[in-house]
Amino acid sequence: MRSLSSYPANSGTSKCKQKEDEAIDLHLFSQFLITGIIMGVLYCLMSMGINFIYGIMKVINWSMGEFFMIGAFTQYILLTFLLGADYWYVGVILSALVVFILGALVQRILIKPMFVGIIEAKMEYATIVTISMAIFLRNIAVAIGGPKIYTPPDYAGPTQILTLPLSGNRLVAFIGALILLGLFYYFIKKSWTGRAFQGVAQNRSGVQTAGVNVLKYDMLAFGIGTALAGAGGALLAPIFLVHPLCGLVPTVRGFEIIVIAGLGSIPGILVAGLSLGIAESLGSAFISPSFVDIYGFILLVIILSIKPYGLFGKPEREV
Amino acid sequence: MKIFRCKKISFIFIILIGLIFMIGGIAPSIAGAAEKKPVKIGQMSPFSTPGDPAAGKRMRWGAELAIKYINEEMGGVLGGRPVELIVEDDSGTPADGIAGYRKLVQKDGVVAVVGQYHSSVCIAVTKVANDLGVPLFSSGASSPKITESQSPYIFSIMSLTPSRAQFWVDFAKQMGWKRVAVVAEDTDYGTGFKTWVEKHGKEAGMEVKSIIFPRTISDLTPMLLEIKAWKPELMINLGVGASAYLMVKQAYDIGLFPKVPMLASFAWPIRPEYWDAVGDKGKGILYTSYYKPGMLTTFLGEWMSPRYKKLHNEDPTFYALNVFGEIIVIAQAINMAQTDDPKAIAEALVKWPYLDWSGVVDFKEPQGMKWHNVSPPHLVLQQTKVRQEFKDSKLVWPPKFGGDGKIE
Repeated sequence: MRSLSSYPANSGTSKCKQKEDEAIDLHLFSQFLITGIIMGVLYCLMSMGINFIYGIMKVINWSMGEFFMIGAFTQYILLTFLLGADYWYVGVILSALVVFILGALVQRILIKPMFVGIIEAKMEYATIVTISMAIFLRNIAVAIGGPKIYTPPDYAGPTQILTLPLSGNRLVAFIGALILLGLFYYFIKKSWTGRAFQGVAQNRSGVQTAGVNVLKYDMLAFGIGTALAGAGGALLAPIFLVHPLCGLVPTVRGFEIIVIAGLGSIPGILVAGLSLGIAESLGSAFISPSFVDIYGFILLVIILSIKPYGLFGKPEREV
Repeated sequence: MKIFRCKKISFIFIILIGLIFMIGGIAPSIAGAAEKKPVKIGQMSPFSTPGDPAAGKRMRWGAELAIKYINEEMGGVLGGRPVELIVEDDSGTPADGIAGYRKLVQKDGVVAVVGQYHSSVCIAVTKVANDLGVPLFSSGASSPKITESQSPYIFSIMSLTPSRAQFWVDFAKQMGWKRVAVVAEDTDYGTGFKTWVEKHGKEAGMEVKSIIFPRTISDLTPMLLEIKAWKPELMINLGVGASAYLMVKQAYDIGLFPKVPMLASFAWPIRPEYWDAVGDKGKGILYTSYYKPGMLTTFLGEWMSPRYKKLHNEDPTFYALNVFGEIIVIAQAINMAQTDDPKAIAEALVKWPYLDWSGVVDFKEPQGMKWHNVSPPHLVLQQTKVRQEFKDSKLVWPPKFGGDGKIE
């Protein structure tokens, strides 16, 4: 285990120097903590989309990273060639809309046929389709955009959160992600459509007796889930850069969060996302930044060994 | 050692090289029935991520011009047989590299393969090249493990990791910097440089702090915060592709760069993609190069550079020139061997000196890492303006090439 007091300013022995050392340690610790919280919230957005689609359709969309990438590319094109940097928020909305339409179309054309008589689903079919879709979309991005790496203009200038000097883009993405997560939560819990989604998630057969068109809601759910990923891509475009593989890491983190949280739990995703972001950041600070990809898996293994269904997951009951 | 200035090329060498080029025209009777059958040369480079496709693309541009030169200016090889380029993508991953090399050799029947760029790929392919006996050229891979294999089929026209690390330490020492941070990707390339910079830095009495990061990382902020707290005087960016650009951008965002000078491990800041990715934040970056447009080159370099610029609207990179030169060296070796047999070509490559874009290439067989290696000189340049062209970069170091030792 490393100590943060291995830095040059931290080598004094006097009381005054010791206090200064502690201040520096706390300063650095707070910087890592804030970084972790910000990244955790951003990961949540991705995870929420995957979780929502699974909750409604019981399908895991393996191509979420590619919808994230399409959102990022759309934002880049909109801001660079049409809207300009000042209208980045319009770009985020339009990018999410584009990805929503694309996602809904993909569901309508490619995923819907897996449902036999609305209820019975061929899961292996969905897995093959979404993995194929991921490869296809990634290669389309290479064919259209070339192997280049792009970035849209900055959303905001450099800023500071408490002790952390920060890119304005990151702050904007953080606030944007919080707003989107809040809106999504409100939509699911308070709106009639959201309640219908809850019904579909709970019992696909039963909800039909109340007149809910399950297949229509499937299409909407797929569109909304992918739109969340697209919005995430648009928000993070100036931070993670825009290239055909830019959705890979957020997708991996998204799946980690779902497993930690437990499938189907929205509050669980927030807790798991923040935990993951903080674990990665503090792991980098106190153990080694070289293993940043492993900390999430360690957290996942610890949580699953204590709670096998995840933090907020419940065992599925079958009749 | 490659000689970089034409004036240093001895008269004897020029005569010899002239003879090699002429033999191509003497050979038609020997070539016989196979006269019109093309001789295939392979290029295997990264054309997709997680490799560095921007480098692969430019190497391909260099290779295409080499083929054009051989077929149109040299009249082909072995007395008129055209040369054909077969391209394969290794995507910067060893498994794809091995599969690609096997395909080039066993299916396409190439006589040599150029364009190896990522060390981890080249190390893996080296073993296969030794088994299949077809010459493999490292055009950008710098790990000494490649040449240390002492395979008769491995050739390298590239700066090796230890000498480049020594160059950086010398540069830092000259600038009066004593605290050097190394932020490197977790590949043979990154970890190799970490080891050698630490070694040479320690010998020079410097403090070196190294951080290794996963190659596919999307957020380097925790690492950069740690580096910032350590208060380095120079930071060496050992990312390749997206991670290299990400490091510049995120270091700028937390106030680390340009306050602390950042040195790119090779010349990626000259690419337009760099500016597309980082925008104005990339101004002021230092980078390592082996060539600067305007330096003296051979007639081959003189032929290639303006054509490259006309076709692609930018000056050729070192790697583009290097692949161009390697293919022409192979063509000369084919003529000298008087056969397209890969084993005979490998023998001919060692037996005689050849001419490439920058001077004479002479593959020696000393023990250790200099086996079949020809190293270019090193330069430190700086991008002092946004979207600055390669030719306009400021030459910082060393003084023997005109560097003034000052950064802006």
